[in-house]
Amino acid sequence: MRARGRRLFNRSLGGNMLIYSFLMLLGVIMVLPMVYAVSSAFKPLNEMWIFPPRFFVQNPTGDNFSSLFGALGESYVPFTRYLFNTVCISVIGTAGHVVISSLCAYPLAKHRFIGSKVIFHMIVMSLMFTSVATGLANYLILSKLGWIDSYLAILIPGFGGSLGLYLMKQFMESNVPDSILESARIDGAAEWRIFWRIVMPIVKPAWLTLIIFSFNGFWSMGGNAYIYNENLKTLNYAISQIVSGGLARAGAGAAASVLMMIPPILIFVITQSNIVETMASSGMKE
Amino acid sequence: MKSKGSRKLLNYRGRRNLMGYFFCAPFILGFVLLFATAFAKSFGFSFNEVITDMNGYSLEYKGLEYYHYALFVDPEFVRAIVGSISGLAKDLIIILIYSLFIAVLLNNPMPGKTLFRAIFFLPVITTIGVIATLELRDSMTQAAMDTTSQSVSMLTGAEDLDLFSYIESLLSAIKISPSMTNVIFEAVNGIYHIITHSGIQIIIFFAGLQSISPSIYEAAMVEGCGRWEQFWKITLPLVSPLIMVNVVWTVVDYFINPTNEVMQKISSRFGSGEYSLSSAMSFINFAVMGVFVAVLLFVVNKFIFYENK
Repeated sequence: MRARGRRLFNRSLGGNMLIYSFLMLLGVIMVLPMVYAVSSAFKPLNEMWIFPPRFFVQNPTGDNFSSLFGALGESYVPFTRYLFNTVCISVIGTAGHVVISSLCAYPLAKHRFIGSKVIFHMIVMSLMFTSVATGLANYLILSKLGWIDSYLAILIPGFGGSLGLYLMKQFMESNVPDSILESARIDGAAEWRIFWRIVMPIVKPAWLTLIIFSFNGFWSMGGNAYIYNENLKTLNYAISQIVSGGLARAGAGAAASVLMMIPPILIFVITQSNIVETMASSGMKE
Repeated sequence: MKSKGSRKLLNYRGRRNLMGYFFCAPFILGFVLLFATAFAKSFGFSFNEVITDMNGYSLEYKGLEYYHYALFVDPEFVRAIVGSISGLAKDLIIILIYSLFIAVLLNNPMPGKTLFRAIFFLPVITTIGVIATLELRDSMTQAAMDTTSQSVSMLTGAEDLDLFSYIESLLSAIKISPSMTNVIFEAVNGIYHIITHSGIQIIIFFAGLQSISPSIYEAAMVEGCGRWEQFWKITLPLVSPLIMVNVVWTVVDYFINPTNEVMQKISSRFGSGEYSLSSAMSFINFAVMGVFVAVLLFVVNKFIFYENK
């Protein structure tokens, strides 16, 4: 805490003002579309089509939200089912992705074993391949496995995102001191224990970041080619169906986009406030 | 791995290898099963014509025909690839510098830090998240009903258009010439593009900055090191491994983004059932991108500092 106070104190007042106003300016650019989206969500339908468009809402109304929930309530599958699907996929998918990519990243970063370089290069290369082209082949494989029309078709491929692995590997390589691992090994800790008790706490900022990405990705998952059963489809898919209902649904669409933004933002704020400055090397006395 | 028998059979190095494979097993299993197989299959498709029928599909060998078509016959494909590479080269450096800059600024202790961070995180949601997918799907219906340009205003991603037209009418109201406003808009549009594409990079740099121990800065300050020097001598070297991640992410994000011209060509071919051609195009795109990334990583790797090596 002392260091923090001093760092702030070190800079001149003018410098602070300059940085603040710069951030404010950029912040405003980024917030404007968001403000517009929120204000549109409260616009009555007739106000939505005014030309030129008004930035702020004149007569705020909650109609859009009620029409959204009305539309969701009329759907063939209950709204809560879509919500359950999305939450389920987001939570399980994120947890699996973080654990599996960290598990794989640890030996790649900290142990040179036969073939580790090859595995790593393969993974980086796979990042660059588009999933569009493999779509057909993917479908064939998933159907052979019998995963079509089940969560597995979304979850299992989602577990193995290469970017997460790459991030974790890079992080472990630069932040986990070899000497901590060595002393743990001398004290008789097994690798499994070292991984969970030493490596993971040190790279906490990395996996909290990974949670943000991964959750955002799963949460925004729309309809895809592997799921046909209406009971298994996601909230995002349901909402995009409602939105595509045309002009009359424009208000509901604006309301939906605002509501759907909330969970990723919440996850972001929660994870960010959980990151305390880690003391990667604080245990070390050289 | 832990049983006594294997401990006797394997020496230290052997156990170490086994441990590595054990930790990587879930990932590699999925990788081979889902990615490598699909990859190999599509590679096969790119040399064959895929004929679908009631019982599935059959293949007819065509050799390099599809590659030849993509590279020499299709008038737009090569141009699209060249265009995307030159566009990327321009953006990449600006995005990296901008995102590191913002991350360093936002990492400073100051009131309202979390709020600022959340604001800078917003583009991640709007560009790769929910809004983007909603908007993408909607753009199809829009094309049909887009008689009034107003229907664009429905979802956030397209919002800037309205915002611009709003500002434009404002500027013309105070008698600023259209050519002048065009210059302003191009600049603003460029900024907006960079800002919306740097969200993830900023967060990755955050993670790097947060894991730098404050005691290093304290020691530097005791030695009389100013903030400028601190940045170049401490912050930059310690976050440099993440520059690699960000380079890879930026390139991949750019090339694989559905709005990329090359990707649009590939998906439209795929959508119209020309699986072989779209595979061949993907592999060409993949090869080009692979070479691009390899060169970049080779260069960037020279400047990276690994603390524990």
